[in-house]
Amino acid sequence: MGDTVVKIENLVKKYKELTAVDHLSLEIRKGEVFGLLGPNGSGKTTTISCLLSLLAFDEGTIELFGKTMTPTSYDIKARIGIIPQNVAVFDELNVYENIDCFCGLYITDKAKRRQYVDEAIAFVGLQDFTKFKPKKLSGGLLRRLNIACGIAHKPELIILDEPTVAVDPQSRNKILEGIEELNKNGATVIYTTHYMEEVEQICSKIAIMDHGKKIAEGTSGELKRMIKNTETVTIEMDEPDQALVETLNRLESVYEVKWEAGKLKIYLAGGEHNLLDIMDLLRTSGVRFGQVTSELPTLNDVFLTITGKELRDKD
Amino acid sequence: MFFHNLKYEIILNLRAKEVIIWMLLFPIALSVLYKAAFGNVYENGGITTVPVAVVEHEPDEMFRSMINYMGESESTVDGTESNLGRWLAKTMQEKNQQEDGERKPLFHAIYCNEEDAYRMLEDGDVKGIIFVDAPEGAAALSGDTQDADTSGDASDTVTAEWGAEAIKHFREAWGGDAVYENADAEEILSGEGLTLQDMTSFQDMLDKKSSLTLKIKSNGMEQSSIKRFLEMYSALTGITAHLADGGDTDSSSVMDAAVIADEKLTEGNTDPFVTYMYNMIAMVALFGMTVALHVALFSEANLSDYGARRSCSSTPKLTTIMAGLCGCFLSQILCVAVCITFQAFVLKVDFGGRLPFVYLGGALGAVMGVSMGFFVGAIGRLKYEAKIGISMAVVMGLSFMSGLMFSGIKASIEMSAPIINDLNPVAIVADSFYYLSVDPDLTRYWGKMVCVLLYTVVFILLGFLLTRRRKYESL
Ligand SMILES: Nc1ncnc2c1ncn2[C@@H]1O[C@H](COP(=O)(O)OP(=O)(O)O)[C@@H](O)[C@H]1O
Ligand SMILES: [Mg+2]
Repeated sequence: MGDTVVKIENLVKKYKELTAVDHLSLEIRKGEVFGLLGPNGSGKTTTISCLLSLLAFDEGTIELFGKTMTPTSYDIKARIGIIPQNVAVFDELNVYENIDCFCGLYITDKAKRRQYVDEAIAFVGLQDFTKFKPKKLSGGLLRRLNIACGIAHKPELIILDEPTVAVDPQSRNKILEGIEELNKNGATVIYTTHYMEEVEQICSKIAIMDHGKKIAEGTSGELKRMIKNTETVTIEMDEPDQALVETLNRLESVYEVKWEAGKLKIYLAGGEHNLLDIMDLLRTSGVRFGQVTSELPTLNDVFLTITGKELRDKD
Repeated sequence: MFFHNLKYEIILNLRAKEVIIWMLLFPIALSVLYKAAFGNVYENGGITTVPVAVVEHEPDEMFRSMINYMGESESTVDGTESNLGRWLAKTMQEKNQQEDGERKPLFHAIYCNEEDAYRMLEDGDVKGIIFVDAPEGAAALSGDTQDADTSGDASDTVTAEWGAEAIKHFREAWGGDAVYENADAEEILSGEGLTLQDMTSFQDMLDKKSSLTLKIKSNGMEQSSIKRFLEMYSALTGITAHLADGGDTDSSSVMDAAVIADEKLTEGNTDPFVTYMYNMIAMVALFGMTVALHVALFSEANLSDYGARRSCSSTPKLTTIMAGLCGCFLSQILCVAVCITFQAFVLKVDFGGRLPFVYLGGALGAVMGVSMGFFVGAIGRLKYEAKIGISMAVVMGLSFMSGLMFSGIKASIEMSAPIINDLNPVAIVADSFYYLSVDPDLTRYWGKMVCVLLYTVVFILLGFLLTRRRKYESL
């Protein structure tokens, strides 16, 4: 494993009564795409702000690149690129000027800056829009501009705070691919989101947060292994009789059977050819059924298992 | 990095729709409106016929010929008026005439007794009373002379220029009509036209020269034009006397003595149109407040995402703030300059011939407005929109109190609580322009400029104190 880029120890941040971050410890290594996953209000943005020395915090230490981060650590700041949660670009400036404006906060050399800005524009695919003002850009393009403003100076550590909120699927994919590419080019990435699919897709390491606490950490696979469930089989059918449920429950890997709104859910832990066994059983008992699906566990299941609630509100 | 930030600061300011509307279009539209409503009186380049009462306690031939010549009827020049008076009057008249060459009488003089004069002044039938009294002493040119330190000051250019020209004309005149008509000015000036004997005979007349006092009810263009006339007159006669005494042509000492005190009877209305124009510039300058609100806002992480972005960058906050301030200074000065230029050259507002000082005052006013905005932007956590609204309301309110909409407001504040006018930034800037147009020297103008600078320094310091913090309790 490479060097430690970010080291947060026992971070506590309180807003008056509310503890937004509660004894959080994180270690992020060079070359990782680190996902900070948690529902809205779980303290992701607060953690990032403390990390960047924007917020004063109550307890804990934060080290970046092996040094304690302070508001005047300009040498450290020069190596970081941030993409804030809300789009922060100037309406009066066009795409090129916006990127140039923010890039100029880091890069003084004009020729170098021009090259960097052009590269950033190409990177987010806004070549056809360089003269466009932000108001003329769609939500997705605007997000891409927001990202370009944060990465133009080629930072070693890139922090993205929910960059895909309110973004069309095409732009979302473009953004996710872009992050993977940035990572391939050597950048360490911190990525916060409440979309588990995204962290599963791109993150090499994930920390799940809730109420300011880190409730789990690991790779996607490691996290899923933390829970009992390995597979959930769903069958469309009328309410089964008690005998069938009991027979199903007697199968080795089945630990729970539930019927709800026209669907029978069978939860399994481990075992092999589970689906086949279930299908055999159903056929011999002669019940009529419709569609059968088998799902592997998601991070949502992990979250659900640990906290007893869904990761995000059904939308 | 400073210049990079400065560049974008200026671009941002000049592209902002609000700036274009409030700093450029609004004042121009408003001043055109005012011009249409009030300005017609001042066509012909601001010269009008001013009704004035003359109370002669002691008849003064020369002065009478002068004022009559400047007055409504040219035929009043008769035997009782002196030749010199006519020449001086003609000189001044020429000076006052605009390019179109149309002769417009400067004064409508009404000779009357003191009682009638005061009554007419109260009623507004005349703009001022000129008292012609017996001389009090040889040195005193007028009854009341202000202590004015104008030596070596560029402010007196108008007077000095007039004086120099008048000396020339005077010499020409004294040399005789024939000489004046045929000889060229250089020749006359070289000394041939003027003889010592002529000067001595003139001395007798000067000895009888009376003391002049002006009483006015309020300040305004017309009042200042009477005052300027009297100052010219005193200066001219003073110079002549000076020359007659064998002095050189350096007239500055005479100029000093030639300041006529305007005794205000009461604080009254100032001339509306000009007051509006001065207030307009002051208002535009103070609008710098709204422009500068974002300086702190865009640099403070707790106030905006831009601020967060900047705070996370490797550019120190001081640099971004300084660049922001300087950018606002420059763009706001530009807006004020546009406004002044429009008023001076399109609307032909009278700034007393001291345009550079008007620009200076406007620029310093803009700097003050920007620093106030910087301060307001840095305090509290109110939303940007709310701060914009508050600043707009403050500037409009101050402008209103300074007489932007009703010129009487300021006068009534002056009566009840003059300290408010002294503290009102809009009034400070507007007053400085007013002083430029009526004062012979720049003392009061500089006084106001000192106030402006004080405000600026205080607000900038406070702003920096407020933005000094580096970490926030909450964002
Ligand atoms: N400025 C603030 N003042 C008070 N409470 C805040 C403030 N900012 C955030 N919070 C609270 O802190 C908690 C964490 O917020 P945040 O870090 O924004 O969560 P996330 O980014 O994960 O959605 C939330 O309960 C939120 O309401
Ligand atoms: Mg957030």
